[in-house]
Amino acid sequence: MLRWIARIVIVTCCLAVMVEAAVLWRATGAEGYTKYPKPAEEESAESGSEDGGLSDLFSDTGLEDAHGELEELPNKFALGLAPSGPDKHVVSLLTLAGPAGLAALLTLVMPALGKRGKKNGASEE
Amino acid sequence: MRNGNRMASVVVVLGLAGAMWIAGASATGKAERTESGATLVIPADHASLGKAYYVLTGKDAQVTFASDAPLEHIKGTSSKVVGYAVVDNSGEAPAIKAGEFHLPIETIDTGIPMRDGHLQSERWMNAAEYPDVHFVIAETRDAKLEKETDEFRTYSMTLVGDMTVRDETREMKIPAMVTLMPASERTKFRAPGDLLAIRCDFEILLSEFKISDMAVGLKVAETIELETRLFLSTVSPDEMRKSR
Repeated sequence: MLRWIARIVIVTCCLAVMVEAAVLWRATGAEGYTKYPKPAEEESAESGSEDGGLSDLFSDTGLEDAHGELEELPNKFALGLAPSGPDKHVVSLLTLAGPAGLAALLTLVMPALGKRGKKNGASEE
Repeated sequence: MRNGNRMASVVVVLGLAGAMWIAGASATGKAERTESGATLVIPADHASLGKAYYVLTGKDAQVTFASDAPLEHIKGTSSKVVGYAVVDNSGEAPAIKAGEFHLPIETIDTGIPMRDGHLQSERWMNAAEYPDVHFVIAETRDAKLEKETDEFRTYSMTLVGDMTVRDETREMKIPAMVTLMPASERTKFRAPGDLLAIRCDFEILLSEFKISDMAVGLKVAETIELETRLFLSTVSPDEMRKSR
């Protein structure tokens, strides 16, 4: 009975991790690969300019009329479907949900395999 | 007398060869960076063609590219384009008489450091040997006034020039919108000097620039779409740094 309850708890926890990872993946843009934002200090240092952008100065000049506004890529965290590197980029839906799914599967399957093994052993005797 | 004529001929030939070398160097691009690296040195023959504007790097993204392939969608951006444009305002419409822009490959950010490394590798852009993509403007055509006020004039025009990716150069004709904004009370607190903005979209076919890989068509699109918006000023970035 206790073992049965333990299995239910383990499988439930694993399913919870998988679902939450999937929700986080969708909520952060459903990207293919994990991305981290560039820190603001690093971004402004790289820009080489203390001033803000000039785009608003030209906003009503018709500059963007023919081609539309330049797409600005978001600088924010996105959990990816797959990892994009060996460091912090290894965190992804695959590496979060994968082990949890495997643990749930083993928890469900191992007892059945154990019983089959005992049956085979008993029949051989 | 004969020796004098011969000497004159030699001088003329050397002079022509030198002029051709300079013209050739200008036509094929690869202007050198200034000592600070913040902009390019404008060749003398370009500077004499009109008013020089220098690209300002800054917070605004300048180039955004998109690769939309069946297995992967990649977007990248850079705000580190350097360059210049020389504008002749003497005619009915302004004409960009010369210009050169360098996009350093190592500044392209796709959001994933590992992918940025792949982009710079020998397999793709080979940034170690060809650090920049560059575009050299030869002329502009079909300039048409689109919008005008006391503070600015915006024109549509076609930029004609040579695009070089790795070691391949192709002529390209790129429709663009160009806005000229003279210095004013409104602009001086944002950037010094007369301002110029260039906005254009264009496509690059990888095969035209001899970029081929088994990933092209599956994970990397055969045609890369680029969006560009550059802001330039008659005050060079080097002068701006000195005045700060």
